[in-house]
Amino acid sequence: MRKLINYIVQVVVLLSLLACEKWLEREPSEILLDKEVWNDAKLAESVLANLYNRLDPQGGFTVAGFLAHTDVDEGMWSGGLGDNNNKNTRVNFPYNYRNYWSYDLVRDVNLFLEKVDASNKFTADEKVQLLAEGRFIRAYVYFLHVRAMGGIPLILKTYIYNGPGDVENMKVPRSTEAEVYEFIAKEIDEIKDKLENANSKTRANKWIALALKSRAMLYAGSLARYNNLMASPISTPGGEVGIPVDKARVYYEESLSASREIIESGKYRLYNENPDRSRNFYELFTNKGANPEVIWVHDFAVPGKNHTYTFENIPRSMRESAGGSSGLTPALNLVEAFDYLDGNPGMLKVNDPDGEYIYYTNPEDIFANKDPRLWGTVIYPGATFSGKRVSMQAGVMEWVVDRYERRQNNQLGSRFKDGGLLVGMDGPLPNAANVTNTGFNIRKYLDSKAGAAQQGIGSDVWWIRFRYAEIILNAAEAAFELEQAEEALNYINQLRERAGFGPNSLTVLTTEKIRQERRVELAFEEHRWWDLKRWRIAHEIFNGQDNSITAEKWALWPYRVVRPGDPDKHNKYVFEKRVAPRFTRPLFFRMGNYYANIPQAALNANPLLVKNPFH
Amino acid sequence: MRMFKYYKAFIRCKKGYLLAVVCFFCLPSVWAQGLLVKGKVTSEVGELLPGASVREMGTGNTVYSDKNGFFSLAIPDENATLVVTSIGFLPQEVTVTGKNEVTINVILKPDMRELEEVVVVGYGEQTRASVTGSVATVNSDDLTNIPAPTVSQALIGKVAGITTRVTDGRPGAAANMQIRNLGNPLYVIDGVQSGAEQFNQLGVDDIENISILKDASAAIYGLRAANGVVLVTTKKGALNQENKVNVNTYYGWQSLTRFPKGASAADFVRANAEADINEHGATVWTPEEVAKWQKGTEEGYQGFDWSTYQRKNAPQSYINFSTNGGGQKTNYYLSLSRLSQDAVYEGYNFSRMNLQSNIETRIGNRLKLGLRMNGKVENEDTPGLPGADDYWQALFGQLRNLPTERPYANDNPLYPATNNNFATNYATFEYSGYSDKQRRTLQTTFDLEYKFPITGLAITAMYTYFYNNFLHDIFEKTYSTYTYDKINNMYDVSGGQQNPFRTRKNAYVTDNIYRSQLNYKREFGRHNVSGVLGMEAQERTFKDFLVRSRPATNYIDLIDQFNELQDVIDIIEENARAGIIFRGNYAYDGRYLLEVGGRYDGSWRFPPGHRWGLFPSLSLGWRISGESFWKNSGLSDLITHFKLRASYGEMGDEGVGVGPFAYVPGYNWGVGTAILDGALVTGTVSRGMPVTTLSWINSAITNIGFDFSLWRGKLSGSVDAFKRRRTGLPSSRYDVLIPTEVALTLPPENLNADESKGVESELRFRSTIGRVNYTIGGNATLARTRNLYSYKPRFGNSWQYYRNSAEDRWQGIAWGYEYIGQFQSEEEIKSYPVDIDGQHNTTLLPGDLIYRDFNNDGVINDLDMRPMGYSDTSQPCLSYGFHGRVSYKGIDFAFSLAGASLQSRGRAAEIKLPFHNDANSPSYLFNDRWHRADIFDVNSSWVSGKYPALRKTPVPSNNLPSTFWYTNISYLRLRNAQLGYTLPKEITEKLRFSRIRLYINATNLFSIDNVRSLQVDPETQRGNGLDYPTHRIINVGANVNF
Repeated sequence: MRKLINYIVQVVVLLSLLACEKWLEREPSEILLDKEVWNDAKLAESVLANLYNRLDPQGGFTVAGFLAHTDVDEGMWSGGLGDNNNKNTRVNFPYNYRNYWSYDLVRDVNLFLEKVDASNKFTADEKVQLLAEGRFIRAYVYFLHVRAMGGIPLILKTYIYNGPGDVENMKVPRSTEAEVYEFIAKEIDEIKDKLENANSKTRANKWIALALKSRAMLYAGSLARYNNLMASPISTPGGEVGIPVDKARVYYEESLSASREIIESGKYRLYNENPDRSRNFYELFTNKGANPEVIWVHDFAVPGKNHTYTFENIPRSMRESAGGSSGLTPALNLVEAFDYLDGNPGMLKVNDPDGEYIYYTNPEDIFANKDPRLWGTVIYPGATFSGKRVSMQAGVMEWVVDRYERRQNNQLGSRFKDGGLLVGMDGPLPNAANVTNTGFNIRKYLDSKAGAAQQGIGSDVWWIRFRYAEIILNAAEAAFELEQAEEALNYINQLRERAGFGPNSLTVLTTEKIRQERRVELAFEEHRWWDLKRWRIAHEIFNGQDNSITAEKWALWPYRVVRPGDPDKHNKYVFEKRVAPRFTRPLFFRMGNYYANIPQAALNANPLLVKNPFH
Repeated sequence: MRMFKYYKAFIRCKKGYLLAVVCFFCLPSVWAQGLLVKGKVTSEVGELLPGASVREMGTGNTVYSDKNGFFSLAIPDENATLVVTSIGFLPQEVTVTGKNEVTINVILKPDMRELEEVVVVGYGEQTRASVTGSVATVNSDDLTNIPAPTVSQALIGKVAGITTRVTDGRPGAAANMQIRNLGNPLYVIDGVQSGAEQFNQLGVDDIENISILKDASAAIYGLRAANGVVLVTTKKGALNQENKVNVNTYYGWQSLTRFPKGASAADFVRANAEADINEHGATVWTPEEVAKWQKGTEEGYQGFDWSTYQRKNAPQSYINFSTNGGGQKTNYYLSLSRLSQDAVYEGYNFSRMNLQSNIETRIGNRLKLGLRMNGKVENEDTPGLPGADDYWQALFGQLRNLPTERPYANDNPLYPATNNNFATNYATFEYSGYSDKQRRTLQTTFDLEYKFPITGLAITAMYTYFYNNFLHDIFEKTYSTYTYDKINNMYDVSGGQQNPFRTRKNAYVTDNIYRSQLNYKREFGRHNVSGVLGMEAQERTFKDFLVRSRPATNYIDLIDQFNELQDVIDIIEENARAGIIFRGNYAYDGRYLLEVGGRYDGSWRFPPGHRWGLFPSLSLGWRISGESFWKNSGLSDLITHFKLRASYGEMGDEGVGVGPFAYVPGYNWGVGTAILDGALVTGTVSRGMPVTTLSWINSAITNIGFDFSLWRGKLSGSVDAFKRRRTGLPSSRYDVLIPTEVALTLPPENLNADESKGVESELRFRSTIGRVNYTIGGNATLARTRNLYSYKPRFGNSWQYYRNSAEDRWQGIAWGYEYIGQFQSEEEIKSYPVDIDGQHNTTLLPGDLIYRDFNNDGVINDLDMRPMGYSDTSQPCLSYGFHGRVSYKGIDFAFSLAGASLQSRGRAAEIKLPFHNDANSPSYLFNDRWHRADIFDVNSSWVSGKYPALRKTPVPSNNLPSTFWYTNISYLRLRNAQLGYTLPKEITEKLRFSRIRLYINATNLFSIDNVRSLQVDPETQRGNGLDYPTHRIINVGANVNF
């Protein structure tokens, strides 16, 4: 009897435990198993979507993304007075500034390549295409690394950890800077003809791959040449940074031939859809229809995937939400880099030779006959956006007896005692958040669609990673460096003609001219920082000197003249150039900023990694 | 009126005026037939009992024994029943008859009821005398004493071991509550494992009692018990009890205890000009204009005080209606209550309806069936303002709305003004739409109990279905704001909300809980044996669905147009747990107590093979006062009860910081989206290395303590010391350094350990002075957690060890710089040897902060940081409470004080940085600051103040975490004071009620603390001071029984 009870108890306990174990088995709802993902081309594409989405480390249209333009001499932060304002007050660029160590992305790409390779669920063609696409993404990710860090470890497979014994095999030293650029070039050569998606602007195709090669090899060539022109070139003994000067020529040639292949294919051309040159240049960025210039973009859609670039940067009086506005505001430095149409340098005329003010009937008159691309890039005083005129006025110059008294206050849209405007609805104000501090607002990429400036709707303007104009500029620079000046001049003149200068507006080309053309054409497209680095002039431009015309951010402030006794001057506009008041510390680029520092955690875990110079 | 005079007469009687007074006030015939009772009151052992009350039954005619136990009482009749009571003794009734004078001796028996009190413990009940664990109880009287909207608020300061912090006091908010600062406890409501929210939103009047399992006594809840368990039992009716009806109601007026008040327009404008000049040497504000604002009389230069939008009399109301009773077979408790609480801002309301129905019935002698239902409907209605928390804009608005702005254009209430930030302009709130939250809960439990023919053996079975629905509708509507055009007398649309937003979130939880349990309880002579063996399984399904749209019009509330849809979120989660419960108790002669128990528990959270754990507990008790040596020693006259307790238990903690399916490799769906060739493609990302080796945290708690009672319960209390050691806290093995380039993160394992320890004590004293009965008590809890060890810590140098080590060190240490003064002049800045700002002091002005350069390296950097305080977000390490009650005839008064120490408050944003968010600041930042004698003259001399000179761009060195900005808080607040009056029986009976009590109550009347100058409540925790603090409330109310 006792035994029987014992037995029954045991069985009951066992059965209930088994039932319990099953009871605890529950299904996760958001996890896909390996076998599910690599069984389905749709899900493989979903993995790719995730990878494409992670390719803008500087951020593109995110706040961090456009803040990047305020770190160079293109724009200035005029948004909140809180944390981001340190862009205007910091002593120097920290050594980790724009470092990039994104090996989780590298691992996910390698995993993608391995899984696609191992799966038997794809057709041979599908496989070739997916593998080539994955390799392009990997090449691009390595380019993002090398431009920031110099040579980095080239990890081309995934590792599995089974215990501490595995760690030794995972330690890979840094490749040389040259090897990484060569790896990128070689990968592109191998995959460019395997890539499909010929007409895609979002997924890798042959032309996108060639555009990457055009840019990467141009970087490599200029690094090889200009680093070695420095008084003391920056390099490490192992070549992790510093490319031998003799490689310059080959790299320029590779870049030029990649650019030429794109140019000669005839697949792309400069955007030329609107006879109004100014508007044409603006529309080039916002027209997502048949846009022949665009090569590769990070695309957006409303609804589904929007961005807040317009909300954050729209002029103050045009905002459609409670917050935001005027985060990124162009600096006078950039505005003056645009030439006059007659070919004269773009310095704005505020005083006559005697030091007297020049009086303009309308604020926008001071910009007359400037390169039309200025209008397409910047909203300047008196310009319109979306049909509305910006109201940009810092104050009033009131003539009192024998001189002008500056009258201003803190209130946007306030009136002077004569009933006229005192301060514009859009500023500028000296010390206010979300009001331009420089006297300019950004236009490039700003979306004029209704609701685009609302937080709830946002903008669907795409972020352009490669466009044809850059290829032309790359070709011009490479050709010029290879002493093929005529070809180079031809490219630059093509670009200037589209901009609104007449045909063959330049007859002589200089390095300076090419660089200036690149600066104005590609402003706010995340080129300036990398260009200044590879030309090795960043430390000269951002020299940390007070009142430097390159290291300080300059502003242009319009004033309305109140001088009823002099009808020629009364109610006209005069301008003052000044260092933007919120900008208190000149940009200071140190030698240690040419290559960002390798994160300490990476150095700790892999003793084979050598530090970058000056760190 | 007549009654009252009669009472009065007998007060004087004691003083010898009886004859005269009674003759004067009463009918002579009463006296003529009266009887004088004389006597003495003693205990069983012959001890004389002073202060015993002798009352004529059914009247208020009472006297008290003198210091020798003697009394004499005049009664109007020739016979009467006297009731004799004394604290620590059972009341005794004595019948007297006679003429003129009679002498009696009353012998009182000691009152052991407190020890016989039933204490609810995990899966059972015990008597107070037999409890061996650290279990605190709170009964219904103590809970309803304070009109608190949530249960945790009703517990503040009342129980040793419970620590509370009201970080947010908005209507319907709960206090953060922990047991011994161990973390969030498990809540069990009528035997069902539940959550803090369910606990807090129970009807306070429906709770019979709350037990708090603070030590090994919680182990029977296994994997979820590591932070202690709070058990709630709701009220029941009794068999053969007449029907009773109770009504409790109150109405109150609420205001905020404290909130930072923005500076006036005059101060704000002056501060603006001053900051510009301090920063840039120039300002666009002219001295004339600043002067006009200072005057504040001219049109356009008048400020506005935005704090006027904060009401001082926001209403709250509560009514509870309940009935209970029982017949031969069936007993019941039914209750319905409604609470409505407004916030101090117009348009913000919280309301809750609670329903409770507990019914038990018996079939035959052995079978009992029960159905318990508790349900609630909770509404939280606010305006639909931009941002996730609709309270934020209202709170923020007090500083965000500039004092130079006015709510309405041209002060015309038809036109809300366009201001600095229209979303915080209170004038727009009425146009802004709504946010309506509704929570509906129903917990239904079927119980069955069968008593076997074997004496003491019973089986119970239970099934619970729990349903909780959360429906949240938000409609943020569009509206315009205006600017007044004086010249044309027009109101121009110049801004407003153009961003309509509509969501509906519908989330629900369903639980199925099954339990069966065998109970055995029997006495064999002096041996007392009981045991429990049970099994429990529960599962939960959580589904959450949200749709968001951008409505085309303000007038349609439906989300039914596809082209307006913006977002859809769908979440499904399931979890499951199961466990086997066991406990055995043995007691010998009520003196030696032993309890062994535990649980074999499993959770879905862990990978197969790592799911099950055994969590045992053992506890012992020794009631020394029951020993014969104790009784014989005479000590027992003083210490009537003394019990030693010790316990040890192991428990688990599932909260290991990884998701439930961390052990599953593969890909996560829905991470990132790309538009590829014009089509939206949802992203999928690799999950990385799975976590397969992690299991629950082990928690072992040891408790020793004693309960005592002196002078037969006049003074009683308990003292406990405890230690909880947790091992297996998750951490990664960081001696294995995997190169970051392979991007593998080592999964966390069960490696680290910490220890919480502390002491707590509770004391209560009850006595009478004359006719005044009073009770005073207090409790205190000191509890703090220490890291014990972590996995192979590594430090590069001794500084790193000092700064970063967690080895054998208290948790919750705040590090910062030591503030040693302020710069007095520009010369001092120039010549100061230490680089304070890292920029050779070039950014500094007089009044800026100076820090101690601890390492004397001439520069202030993180090497100069030192511990400066406690955590500013966790519970205070030391909590204390005091309470008292006094009653005199029909009048009763009760108060409770609650306080805490050893917690800190850091300051940030609004209450630290002037002009933060480009907004107004509290006036102390603008006024009590360093500034130039003439703010417009950069050459004028500096005038000192408490805060640094004003700037709009934050000055990094001033804003470092430092002792200047850190306050180690102590506070003691009058949590509650209540004065009640129970109407005399005669009146109540005439009105056919059995009891009527009226009361007035004040909650959070004042607090003594050291953050008054910051205008923040000591319990709130946000650095910026913009928490909704707790309310100060005046209530009037009534309890009516019939």
